[in-house]
Amino acid sequence: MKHPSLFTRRDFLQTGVLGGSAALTLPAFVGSTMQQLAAAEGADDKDQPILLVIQLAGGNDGLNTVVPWENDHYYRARTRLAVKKGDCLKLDDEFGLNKNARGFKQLWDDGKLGVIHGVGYPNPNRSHFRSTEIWHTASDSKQQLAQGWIGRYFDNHCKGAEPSVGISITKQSPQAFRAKNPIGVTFDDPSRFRFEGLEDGDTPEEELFLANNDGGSINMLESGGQMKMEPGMSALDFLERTALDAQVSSDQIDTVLKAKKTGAKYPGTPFSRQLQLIAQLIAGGMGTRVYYASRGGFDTHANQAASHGGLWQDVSNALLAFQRDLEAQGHGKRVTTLVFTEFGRRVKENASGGTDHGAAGPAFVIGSSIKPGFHGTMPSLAPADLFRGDLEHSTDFRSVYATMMDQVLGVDSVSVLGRKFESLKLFG
Amino acid sequence: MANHCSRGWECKENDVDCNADFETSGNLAVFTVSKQYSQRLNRTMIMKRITDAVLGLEKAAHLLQRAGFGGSPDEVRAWAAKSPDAAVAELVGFGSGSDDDFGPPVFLETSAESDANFAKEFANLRNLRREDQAAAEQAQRRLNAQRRRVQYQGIGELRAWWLYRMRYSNAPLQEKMTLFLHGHFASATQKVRSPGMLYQQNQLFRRLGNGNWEDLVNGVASDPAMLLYLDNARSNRRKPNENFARELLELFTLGEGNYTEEDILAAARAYTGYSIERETGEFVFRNFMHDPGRKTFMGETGAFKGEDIVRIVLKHEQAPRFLTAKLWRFFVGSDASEAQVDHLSRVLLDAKWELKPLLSEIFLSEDFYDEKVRRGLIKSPTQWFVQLLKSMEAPLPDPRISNGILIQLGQELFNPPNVKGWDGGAAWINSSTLLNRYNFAGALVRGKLPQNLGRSPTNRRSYNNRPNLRSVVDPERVLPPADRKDRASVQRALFARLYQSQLRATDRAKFMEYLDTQKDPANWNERDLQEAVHLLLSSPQYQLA
Repeated sequence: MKHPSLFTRRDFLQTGVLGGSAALTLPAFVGSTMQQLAAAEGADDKDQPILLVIQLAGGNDGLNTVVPWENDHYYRARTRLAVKKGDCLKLDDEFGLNKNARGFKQLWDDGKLGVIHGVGYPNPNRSHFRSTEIWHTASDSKQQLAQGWIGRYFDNHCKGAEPSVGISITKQSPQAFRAKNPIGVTFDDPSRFRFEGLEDGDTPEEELFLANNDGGSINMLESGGQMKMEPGMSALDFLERTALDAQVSSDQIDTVLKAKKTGAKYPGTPFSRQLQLIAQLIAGGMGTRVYYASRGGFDTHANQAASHGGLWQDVSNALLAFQRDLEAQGHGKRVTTLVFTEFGRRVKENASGGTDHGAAGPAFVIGSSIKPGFHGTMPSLAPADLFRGDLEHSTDFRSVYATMMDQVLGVDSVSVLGRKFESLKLFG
Repeated sequence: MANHCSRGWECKENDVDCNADFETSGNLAVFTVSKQYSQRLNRTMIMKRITDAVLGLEKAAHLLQRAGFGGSPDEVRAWAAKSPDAAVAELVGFGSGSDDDFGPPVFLETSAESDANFAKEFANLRNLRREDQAAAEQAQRRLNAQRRRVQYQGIGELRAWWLYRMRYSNAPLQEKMTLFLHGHFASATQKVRSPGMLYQQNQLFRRLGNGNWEDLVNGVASDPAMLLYLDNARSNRRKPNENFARELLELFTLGEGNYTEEDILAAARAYTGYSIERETGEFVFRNFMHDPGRKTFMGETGAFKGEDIVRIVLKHEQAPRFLTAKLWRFFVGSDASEAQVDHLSRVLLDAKWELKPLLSEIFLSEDFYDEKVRRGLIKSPTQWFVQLLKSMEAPLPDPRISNGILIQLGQELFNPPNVKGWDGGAAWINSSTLLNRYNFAGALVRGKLPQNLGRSPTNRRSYNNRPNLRSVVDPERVLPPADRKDRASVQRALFARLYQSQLRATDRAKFMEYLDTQKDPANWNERDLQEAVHLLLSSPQYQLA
């Protein structure tokens, strides 16, 4: 896009309207609208806290990740698959990390890693689709909610924010982002998040495209930049405003990413590239509050030994590189990363050298502000204590979300989760 | 002398103002329209019909886009010449279309046999399990994977088959109603893996889309895909499953707040035994699972079965309002007023829940053609896609491309996100989906395979051969020489085909400004035309129907 890079919707409106193509005179209310927009975008976006949510898709086997290396039940249940005592990276008297999770071991030693034991929910559901939906919408097991938990955060606490308040580096928009007022930007390849089909020097084409997508009539300013269809607002107004927002977000991201790369070294895997992109967006000053990424492959029903280690090598090394990159850029304290999976796996190995869908498992929190170490209580592995062969959860995942809302994003978690869940003591 | 109501039964009172109980006839139920409610509605018939002799271009375009998936300029011209009554009668009657125009999806020919084979293999495994658990587990995993592949292929074919019908049907309202009902009575392949079952459900909607609402609801309650999706197949008298009963009341017929938890439990009991034959996937009523006892549902008591529940539900004042409001929203794009809902509910009740009079009333009303309604509806992804192809008179691309596009735009057919279906309207649009629409439009127009097609298990990107994509713009058709004689002609022709409206002066001016920078349209090559079309499609205006 050849036209000047326009950093915020506010900037665009000021240049577009005032510099403007049409002979528009600014009515008085526009001034106050600009103020509204300014207020909505926050005093200084650059220092606001950021949450990164990562899903390990498929159901990560928690027991072979955070290994209870002293527990006989573990070895009895997994005669072939258990991580050997000598092999794990010991964290304390009871637990060690999978030997391939060196990146996490380093984060642990640096005091940047928190491990939350036994995260799950009552009446666990063992379907990928359904359990993922439960985690994304923060619903009860028997409930069906349409909006995502992060979407409810956007709806309740990000009024007037730009679409890039949430960015997901995935192919499809995550259900967690689904909001009543659709917001959030999704792309797996930043070069895709732009209007394709204009070549360099295509000025007339560019002009027409912009003319069609610059937000149109002045009416849209009245609603203070709200991203939803208000009663009385026409569908065309709504579309025109979304088109403008898409332009602005696309430009923002393009500008930020064209700037110098941070220079940190990343492992080079696709997942680490997602994180590198996020680090660059943060370093570049995006006003994004929540980022989302995902790494698949964790559904290890068969031959787990062959794949699980590799998955953790990738994930842990990428996250180590990411955390170091952030710290080097001075953003270590702002950013908290939450790593979750839709369910853990069964305690007993199956007959195919793998494990089947289970229930509770560990979740991870990474950052410079967190209280490192173990949180919550490890569920018992004694067969009598298992629930249908699965670990009983000791921490409701919504407590984890509540902690993120209360103590990272600084908003009331009840408005996002529907009811009160005790926050965990994850922060100093 | 006994009168016959519109359903051909003898009734004891005058047909128009009936308020008596009819006798049950076979499995079909009778209903009572409470006299008070009926009289109240009597006073509120406020909606007027259009009085034009013929539809004209604007109304015809509007009608085709809302009651169907739009059409080419020629089709719009043909419909413009019809009288409103004739046009709407043809649409609502699903006239001029027939199942014979389309064969069933390919997988159906082999699915019965294939399902039976799998059932046999799984049964064999159960025996093997006793001897060698490890081997059985491995074999089961392989067999599951195999069956999944077959199912995914079937679902892919099913989607392609439906899109084909949407693209080519001569009964567009039939396909549009099927789409509405698919979102209303949602079932998803995520849970209902069998393409055969989903096909059956789709055919139910197709058959009854202009039929009787009570028949439809009862049909859905015996539909295997729905029974599976809402966990009713195993619901039995010892442990009745409330999922179907709840959604029946909350999402399908009445809406929240019009029934109690006890009503849900009673309904759940009434639906116990409504199950599925494992081998064939057909509906079966299992007596031994059914709770034959008396239930109290919405103030009435009896040894109710499912059909009784529906009969009683439809007596509720909210029942016609719920349906009419939702249909209005789907076809009109905004909420009906109380008065409009009153009016339409009266029409529906007078017709004893037959949908044709209601649909006709909507499509013949002045309100439907109101200026604020026209070009006021944000196209669903399916609408956007099919309408684009119809307006270009272009064929469907490779099914993998079609499905990939629809996934990215947020509407994967046969896979609504949850039982509530799709929210629709503004919910289709955010920065990403809007940019995707622009970019996919570009891909279709330029014949370039899009890079970021959506992925679902049924749309794996492991192409054995990459699908080809031909440009949907045929220059001969889209801009023949007659339309190239000057820039104004180009603008008129392209706006007529793409927007089916000449839009506002500012919209025309912007495009003319662009045309002024381009060479003489008489000398345009394919790429020049593609570029102009792509730009016109990449606008807020194009998202509206």
